[in-house]
Amino acid sequence: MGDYIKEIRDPVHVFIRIDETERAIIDSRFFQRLRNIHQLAMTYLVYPGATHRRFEHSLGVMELAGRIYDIITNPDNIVDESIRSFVPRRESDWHHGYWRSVLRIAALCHDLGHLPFSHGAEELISPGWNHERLTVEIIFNSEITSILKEAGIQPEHVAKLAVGPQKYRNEPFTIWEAILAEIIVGNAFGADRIDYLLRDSHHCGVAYGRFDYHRLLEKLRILPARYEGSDEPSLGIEYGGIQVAEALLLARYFMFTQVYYHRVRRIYDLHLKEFLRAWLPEGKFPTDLATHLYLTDNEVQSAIAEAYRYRINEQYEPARCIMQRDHFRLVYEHNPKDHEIYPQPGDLLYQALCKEFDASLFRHDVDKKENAAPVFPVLLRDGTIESSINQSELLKRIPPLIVDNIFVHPSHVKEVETWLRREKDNIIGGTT
Amino acid sequence: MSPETSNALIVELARQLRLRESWCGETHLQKTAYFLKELMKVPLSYDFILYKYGPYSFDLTEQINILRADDVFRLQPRGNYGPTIIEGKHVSWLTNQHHEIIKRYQKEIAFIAEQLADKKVADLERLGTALYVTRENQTTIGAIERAERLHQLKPHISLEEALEAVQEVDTLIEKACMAMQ
Repeated sequence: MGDYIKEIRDPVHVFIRIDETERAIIDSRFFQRLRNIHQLAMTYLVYPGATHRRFEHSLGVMELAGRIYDIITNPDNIVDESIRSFVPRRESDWHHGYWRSVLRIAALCHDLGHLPFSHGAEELISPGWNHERLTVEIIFNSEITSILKEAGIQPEHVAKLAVGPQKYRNEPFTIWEAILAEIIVGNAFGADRIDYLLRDSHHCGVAYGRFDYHRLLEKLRILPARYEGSDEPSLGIEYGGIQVAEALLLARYFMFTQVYYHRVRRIYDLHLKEFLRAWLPEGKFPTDLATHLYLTDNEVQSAIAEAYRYRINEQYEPARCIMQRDHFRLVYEHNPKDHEIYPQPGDLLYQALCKEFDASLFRHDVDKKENAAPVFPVLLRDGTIESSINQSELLKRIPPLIVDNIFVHPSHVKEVETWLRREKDNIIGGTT
Repeated sequence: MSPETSNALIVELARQLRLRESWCGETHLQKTAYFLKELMKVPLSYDFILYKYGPYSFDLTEQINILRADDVFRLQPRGNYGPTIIEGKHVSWLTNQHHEIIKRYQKEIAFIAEQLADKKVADLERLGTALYVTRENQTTIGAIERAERLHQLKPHISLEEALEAVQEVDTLIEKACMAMQ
């Protein structure tokens, strides 16, 4: 553990340095599989440059996690005595190096369980499963397990940090483990989030996801949430870093609205799911590791091409939509004015459209789960710790992220648009 | 219970907490929802784990985001603490749809609000974790052992505070049994 033996060029972080154990994991079959999983599903059909894969993202998250660890465990940056008790000392404590390795390897492994096209069709996994559970399975039951054991690293520690407390349910996290997991998967300042914003922005060719992340990293601190009246620590920011934290959260807001929630990207996800439902055995992704290893975007893309070419039953229509780029068209999207009148206007309109026309012509796409502005602790110049929401007028005003799209088959666009122009206000207004 | 029905009960819980002058931030709602589920056996759909300031539900956080998106809840920055959750424009849209279920669990919600509305986050963290360690051990173990476990899980809570919290939770369990008879 520890000595760097190789460096890899990276378009975002310039150089990523790896040690012997990290190299062995990168060389493993499960990690190499990530070369064939697109980071942003079929977003490349909208932003042609978005062909990057989970492989390079995982390397980037490892690099960032290591940098964050070095900053927040630097004794000069431990500003509260309550924190010093659980942070390993840099030079004298063996644990410092051990947990640094665990953290970097967990960051490297955090996406191993991703299904073909990443989040695009993730819901088609068997009940009780998700990509994080597959990640844990791989860490515990594959060639990666042996690599970790040989290096003296407990697979359980790696699994915990890789998926975080939300998905690792075997046992509670210690305070230290919770902080380390937050470095990778944290809502506000997780390395996963920082890397995907920068990397997706770079590859899509949009500027929305960029922010001064060097400054952000320098200002990260472990802080107790005193403003909540608790001594429980989490990742927060030192005074002077609030502006770059705002920039990060705004970058995320704009990347969601402009890229991740782009209407055409969303409809391709729906067509992909329709295809996979028809193509996968019983419409579900397998969860055994042997099949998972060999099921990537490549296999799915070949199957889509074949279904299109040979007009294979119910696989044909969604395959055709993708191959001919003849996707369903947007006829309604989230509108704050309609939302002011009724909280779920898309539901009302979708039901009305299905009654008026053939229901198979429509797709309704809803997502409201994302929190645009998570709250985090901020250390002020006078040593007090406050909630970010009390320190930033801007963070108070970031609107919720809402997807409420209705799509229609290309053959009915004009007819449906005309009908909606006539009926929409009556349908939504009729609820008041 | 569906997430939407659970959300209606959470909206009522928030209302009852505010009525009793609770700060009613997200952490207050998280911990009182845990008590509602674990102590009063209201079958809320949210899954709780031990995490931030004691028992915590990522499902509930996600549902609060949805309630904010639907303008059922709003966040109001206030004083030096975290924001308070207040009612949004469409709150009655949700509660009117689920008034029967809200009526059915009114007594349980009122009990929790009555007992916990005046607690601060640090109190709720201690009490919530005390209930967690009590529930963790299906076989009855003594207060001292549970306090030790609490202190082990949350080292920033002293053993003395942990013991007080475990004893307070035992009293709360008794009160809840009596209230529901």
